Amino acid sequence: MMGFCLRRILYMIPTLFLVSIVTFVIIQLPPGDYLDSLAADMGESGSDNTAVIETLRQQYGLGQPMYVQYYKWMKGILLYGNFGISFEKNVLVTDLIWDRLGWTFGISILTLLFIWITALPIGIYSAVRKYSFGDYTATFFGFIGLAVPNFLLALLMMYISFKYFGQSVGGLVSPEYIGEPWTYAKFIDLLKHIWMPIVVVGTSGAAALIRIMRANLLDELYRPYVATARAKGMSEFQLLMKYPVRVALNPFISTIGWILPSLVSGEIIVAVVMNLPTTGPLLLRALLVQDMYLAGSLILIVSLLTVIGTLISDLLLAWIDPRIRYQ
Amino acid sequence: MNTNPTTTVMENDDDVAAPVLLSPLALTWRKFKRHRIAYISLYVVGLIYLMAIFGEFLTTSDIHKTSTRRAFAPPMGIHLFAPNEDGSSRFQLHAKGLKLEIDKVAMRRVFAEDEEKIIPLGFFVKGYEYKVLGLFSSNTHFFGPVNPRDTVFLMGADRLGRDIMSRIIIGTRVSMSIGLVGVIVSLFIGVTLGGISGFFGGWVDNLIQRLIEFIRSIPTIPLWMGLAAAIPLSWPPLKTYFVVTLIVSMIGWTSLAREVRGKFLSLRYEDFIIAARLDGLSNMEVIRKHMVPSFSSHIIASLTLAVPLMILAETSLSFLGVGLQPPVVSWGTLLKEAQNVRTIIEAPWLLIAPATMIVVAVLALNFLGDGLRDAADPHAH
Amino acid sequence: MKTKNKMPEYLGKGVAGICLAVASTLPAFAYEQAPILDDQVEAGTLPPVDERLPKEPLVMDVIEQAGEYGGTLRRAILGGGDQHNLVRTIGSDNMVRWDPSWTEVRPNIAKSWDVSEDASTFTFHLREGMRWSDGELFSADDIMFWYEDVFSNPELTPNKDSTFVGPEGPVKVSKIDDYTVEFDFGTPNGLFIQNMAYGFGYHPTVYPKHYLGQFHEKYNPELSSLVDAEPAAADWIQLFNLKAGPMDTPLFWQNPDRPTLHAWHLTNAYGSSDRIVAERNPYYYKVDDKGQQLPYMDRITYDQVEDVETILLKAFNGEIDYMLRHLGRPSNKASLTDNMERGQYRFFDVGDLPANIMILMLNLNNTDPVKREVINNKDFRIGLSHAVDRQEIIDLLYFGAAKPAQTAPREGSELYKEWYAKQYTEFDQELANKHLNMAGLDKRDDEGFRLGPDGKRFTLVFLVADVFGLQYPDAMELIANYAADVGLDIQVRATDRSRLIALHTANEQDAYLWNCSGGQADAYTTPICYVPIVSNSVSWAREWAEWGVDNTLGEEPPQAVKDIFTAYNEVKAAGTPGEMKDKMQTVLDMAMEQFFTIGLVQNDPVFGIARNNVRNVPEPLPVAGQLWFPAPYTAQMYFEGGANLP
Repeated sequence: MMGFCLRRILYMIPTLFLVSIVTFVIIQLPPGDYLDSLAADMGESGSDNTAVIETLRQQYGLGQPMYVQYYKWMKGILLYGNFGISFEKNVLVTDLIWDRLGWTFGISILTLLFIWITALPIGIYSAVRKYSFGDYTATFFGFIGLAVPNFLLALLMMYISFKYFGQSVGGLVSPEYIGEPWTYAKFIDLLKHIWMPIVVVGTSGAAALIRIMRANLLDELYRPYVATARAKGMSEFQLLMKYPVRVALNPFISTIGWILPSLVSGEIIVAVVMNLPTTGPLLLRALLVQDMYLAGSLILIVSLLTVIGTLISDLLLAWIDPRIRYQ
Repeated sequence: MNTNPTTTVMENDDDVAAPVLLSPLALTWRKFKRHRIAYISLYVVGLIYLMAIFGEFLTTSDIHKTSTRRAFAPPMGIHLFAPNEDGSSRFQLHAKGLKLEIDKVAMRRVFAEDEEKIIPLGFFVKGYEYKVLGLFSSNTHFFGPVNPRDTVFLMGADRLGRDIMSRIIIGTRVSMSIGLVGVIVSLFIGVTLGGISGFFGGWVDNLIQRLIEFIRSIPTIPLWMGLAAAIPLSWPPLKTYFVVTLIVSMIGWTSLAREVRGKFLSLRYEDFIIAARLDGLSNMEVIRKHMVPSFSSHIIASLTLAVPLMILAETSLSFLGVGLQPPVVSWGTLLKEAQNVRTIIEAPWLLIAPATMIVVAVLALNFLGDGLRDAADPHAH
Repeated sequence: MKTKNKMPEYLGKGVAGICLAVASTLPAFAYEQAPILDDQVEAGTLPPVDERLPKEPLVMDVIEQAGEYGGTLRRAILGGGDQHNLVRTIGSDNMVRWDPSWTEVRPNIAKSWDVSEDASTFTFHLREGMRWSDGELFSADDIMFWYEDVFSNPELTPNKDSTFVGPEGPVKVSKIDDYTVEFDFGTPNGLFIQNMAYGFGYHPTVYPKHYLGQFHEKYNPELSSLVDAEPAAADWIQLFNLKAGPMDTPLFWQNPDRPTLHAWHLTNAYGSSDRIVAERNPYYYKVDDKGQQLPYMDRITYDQVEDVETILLKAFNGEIDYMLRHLGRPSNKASLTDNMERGQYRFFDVGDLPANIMILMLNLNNTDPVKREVINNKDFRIGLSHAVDRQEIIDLLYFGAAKPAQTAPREGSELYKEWYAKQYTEFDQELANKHLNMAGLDKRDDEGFRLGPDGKRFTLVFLVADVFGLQYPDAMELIANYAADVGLDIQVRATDRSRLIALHTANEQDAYLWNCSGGQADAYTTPICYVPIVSNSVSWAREWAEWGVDNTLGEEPPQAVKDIFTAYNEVKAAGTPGEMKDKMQTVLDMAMEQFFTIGLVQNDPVFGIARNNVRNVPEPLPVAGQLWFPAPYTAQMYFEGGANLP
């Protein structure tokens, strides 16, 4: 087991290296650079401002070849923990992202919990009571959650809460609490807002997991060992929990690995519509204006965490199912 | 004749009066039909694809035809009985015309039903010219106004006065094919690489796993945006569309490959596989005859989940402005156009109609896959 | 004082009036301040108001009446690229300003100015005792710091802003005394005072020497320690740029430590928090006619949002007090009207009236020789112009609230001529076909599309971005259909704004859809659609424009275009307004004859919203590319009742 762990951790290094290069290439792929975006924003000042653009080109080192930029960036990260500066915000990337990453993780973890809490019981129920009314209902609502695009759901929920509940729209707290210190009232206000993105982002994930859970469980339910256990007089509930559910849980463990990038991606659009202080809008904006160190750092960090997540899920799987360990 | 002994035996053991030998396919079909919703969904999916193929025939007007007087026109109802001049009424499918008032201060068009103006509707009517399957010309339409000069908006009109129903019908083509092409691509790559990885193991497995891990660890949206923005603008929409499809399908194959590999790994030492090997079957035969059938149900379940995911991915890309762009019409672009507060308040049909289509298609595909999965499952009872 | 102002009369009127008013009423004032500052003054942390104001404060000509103190002006700002939101509410408060109707230039930071007979030398008189927002004195030395150490430093300013460059090269600035500076161009530069009132005139008055000196190698020998302490800068140049960024970039709004002369001062940086707060500047130099120091409102807050839709919902909810940005679009009017009661706001007119809001910018310098030949044929452009049904576009997209017109000065502008605006605007497919045939596109392929001179289908790729909230992609779909009706193949490619700009500045486009300023008084200073000028937003003959700047660059234009360059240089050299107008008319006559761009639509005034108790709102509010309004007039807006509506 130790050797397996060690080997897996060593494998991470080339993967991460590759990720960093590809990240850097992706953000450089679109033609133009940040200054073109800035020029676009400045276009509305009514006249040309090439003077400023030239000055800033020096400022941001954008004239250099790509590999030099990459080398400098990686050197900064590895030696000093410096992810470079954000062109648009003109501060270090590290000063910008931790708060937002915090919110992103908070919301992601809550969403993951929401997904598990809804998907597990419903998935089991659907498998055990196959083709029952409850199964159909669960399936139907699950699929509805899967079928409605996130951004549509987000906009609709926001509009409804605005129209019928008079709630202030967007953000995680009402305007009167912005910039205020944390109090009980502010926390309650946060709770009133935060459930919306969680539900919006979580529904599709939950629906998918319900389907997988149901499918896997159905594979297990009719195996001979289940029949044997039943024949020996084990109670249905115990029987279910002891073996089939445990085996069917594999995909749940796998989700730990990939839930993060998909939540971050899924969350981008929702966060833009709902105006959340997460990495989503920051990343989207950075990508759009080619604020490359900011975009690159965010992708890199999310990727790193995903690789770690995959590692954890692999180790867990190996621990649960020894067949995987000795390939 | 029959290659699946398990199933045959089970069938023979059943209390069937006269033992009839059915092929596995027939058995699957029989089981499938028992899943009512899945069975219905099969027809729904079939209809949707027919709609994609014979789109123009079903439309009531040209999707590019704009109308100043009908921008944001609400959906028109279909009425059954039209009044005659003498006061009695006769059976005549028709829609009522619309009266337009422009509120210049609020910059709004106000429509009211015009009781006087009757637009007779009928089946197989003459309309704009189009090409059936790109082969021969026709101007017959399944349903629409009897007089080709009339226009009817059964699901309302968009901001340029174009018929939403026709646009949705034509949009089906792009949306449904993007899902299908995407899934085929990811099925091919996923099963091949996953199979190789799981069956051979060793360094090949390791390499493929690292590749998958690598692709999965990059958040999809930045990847899409980077790739989509790198497509040269001089490319025609169709080429761009194809590339977008390929980009979208990149999300699919990795999860499938991982699942296939996992199944291979756990199946390798199952008794029936070892038995098959001892029987002298070659690697390929073992895979084809025993391994693949035993987890095909799982693949089908994953795939039917993947098609709608691709459809939704396309809408997300459209939302971000890097997917398909007008004048290409897809459900995603239609939804994107309606994605604003103004539409929710003033022209909700612009949102409801394409959203309903997406939901229906996704639901049908999912139920269909569900049914197929259950039917193909050799363990299911 | 009046006699000192030897400037053109039209520029002098307002100045004289105000200066007289100041002189006559000055002794009567006992200045008042906002109650919010009383505590600080009593505690001794802030000097009394009389010491904070200059000796001769600017007595502001308020729109309605003197107001009352208090309240927070609440707005919303996008998370990125929205610095003009700040510039146009706070930032643009220059040496001189345009009056609220955009007809004459009035004193602002400068209490008055003199112009030499030949309009080559300009002398500004500053206000004695005027202070930066941190309480330090503002004087000619600050302007000299900008001139000598920033503007003239080739490392800090590799390219000079055109406002400060005359035909003979960059301006020479000299200090006459502590409160007098002279700008000398050497040759006539009749547009300079106007330019100083427009946006880019801000440069001389945003460089506080006492603060920025510490980041300049000339004044701080131990600068390297500061550079080392700032991880975002590698050398002092970068450090200086970071601390003293240009106003129309985010940089300016990301250094709240930099003292300003603005009415409100940022307390946190743009882009780093959910809400940007600008607090009142207790040293602001303007007062009303009752002697109350401006601004009336205590602070401005900008809630950061990511999506324009959220701003709309905020407006419905009454969370926006005054705003036209992002909201004033025809498509929003109906839903905003419905929610007027809920949000307790009203509409005001905004005179955002450019030369044209929808222009087909065909690239006259296309790199493809075939396309270039066809596009440069005036008949082709005339044909395309006749092919477009402008009225239908207007009815569909703008509810009829606009007029079909070419790119030209607007009705009401002193440069307006009917034929400029009306030529080739009627929708006539027959005429279109005739001109297209005359342009050599008389053969068609079997699908009915016209063939180019090379025998292949003639195709133009139009770029379009969804900008200005004007539904350009929709318009482009319509236009492509009109073109197809006369056999012209137009391919539309939707893209985003920055990519479009990257393409056209690299001269890689066939054509695109954009708008153009120059519809009113700004035709003099930014004639970008009448004369080829290098610009980030408008390119229809980029090679010629580059040649115009430097004859060794770009590509030599035909004689007719060279004549336009010459004629426009004469406008800049004109001494009197009358002469200037005549010369400009000549430029326009020549440009309209050339018919460079195909204009489609001149819009009606747009709108903004103000909550019901916001007073002194300029209406109609003129806005233009370089006219960064309402910034000089935000300080005199107030809440009736001294607080926001609930």
